[in-house]
Amino acid sequence: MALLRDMTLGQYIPGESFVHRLDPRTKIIVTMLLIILLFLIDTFQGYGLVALFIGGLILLARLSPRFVLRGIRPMLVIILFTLVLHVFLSQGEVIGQLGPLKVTREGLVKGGMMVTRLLLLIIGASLLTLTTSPIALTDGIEAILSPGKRFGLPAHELAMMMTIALRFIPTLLEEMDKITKAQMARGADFETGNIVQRARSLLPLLVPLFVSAFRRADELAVAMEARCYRGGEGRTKMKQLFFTWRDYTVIGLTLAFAVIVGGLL
Amino acid sequence: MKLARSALIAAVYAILVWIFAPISFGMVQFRIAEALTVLPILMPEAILGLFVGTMLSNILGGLGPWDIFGGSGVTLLAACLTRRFRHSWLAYAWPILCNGFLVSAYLHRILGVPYWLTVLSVSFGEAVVVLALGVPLVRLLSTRFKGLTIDD
Repeated sequence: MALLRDMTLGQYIPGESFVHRLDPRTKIIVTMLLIILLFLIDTFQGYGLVALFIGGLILLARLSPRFVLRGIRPMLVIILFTLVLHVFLSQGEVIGQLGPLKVTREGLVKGGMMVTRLLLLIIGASLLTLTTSPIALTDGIEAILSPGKRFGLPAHELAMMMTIALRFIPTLLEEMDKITKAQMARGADFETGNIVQRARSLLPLLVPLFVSAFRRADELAVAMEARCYRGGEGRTKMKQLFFTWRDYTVIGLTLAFAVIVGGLL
Repeated sequence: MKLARSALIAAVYAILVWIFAPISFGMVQFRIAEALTVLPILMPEAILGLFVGTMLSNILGGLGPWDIFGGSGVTLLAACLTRRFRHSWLAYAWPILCNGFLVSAYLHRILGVPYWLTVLSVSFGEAVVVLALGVPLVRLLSTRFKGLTIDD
């Protein structure tokens, strides 16, 4: 079990492009708009236009298409599964048969549509994580959630937790790798048995991982208290978020695009 | 401090999703990380930890805002209910029910798969993880590591 294989954490690719320098809030809003749009349209022409728009963003972000397409890989099984399900389970004009399974024209069209939408969804969302560092992303999420503070939403605490979690993910991954190797050296077997047995075989990994995580949490808590951490009240940020003309232009253009495409198709 | 502990629970959730990424998303999923959904039984700070953990892992999962906000919202709901019913067997049922019925609702929208079939497959995966891994996890953590668990 190679745990640390090509894990690109948060997939973020540092850069200085136009898209990289946008405010994280802008990128979150644009991604949201595109995703809502993808759910409103159901024609191939509409998807084509969105694909062009996303393609334009990829060019603007100066990302290599290879990186963008790599984001699809973990989702490949889900995409194929969706396609197969649609192709074989839709009612309509039968154009082919494979034993008891019927392939219908409607199924092919619907399957194609779903896969296109899913691909665009994944690429659109990965554009956000590819061009925004996880820290900027949590800052953006905190800013977007902060109006909820009035209703008792702990926006700062949530963002702080995300930042800490992101900081500790590589550490705990390494720890998990060590624990796995240690348990395997003691004869642990993760690869035989039925689903329930396999799930249970992970218990000797989870318990040590927890103990270690809790110990780290307690150490961190002491360190934070020693530095007088007292929550978000009155805290300042090293990197302030600013909306510039770029952000307004990008949001405006995306909104216009969404209204036109969503309205016409 | 509870914040640190919540954050580390979120980190553990996220790495479990990443390590088992191929079986953590989509219609047929056995999200090993969901074994942690039983933690609110032992400690209240796990509720926010799970919420943040799901959010982080779904940000990187790639199904977009539905999954990011929907998925973490469902987890939050389930975690609160689990905490509320921590003294009964219902505590273990909430993650299975909430994920089974609610996550399927948006997976049905995103992937266009039949709703009830998804309810079945998602609940099944969730049930396997929660019952086979979550239940013994709670038992072990609460008996062997008394110092680690705070209950009010």
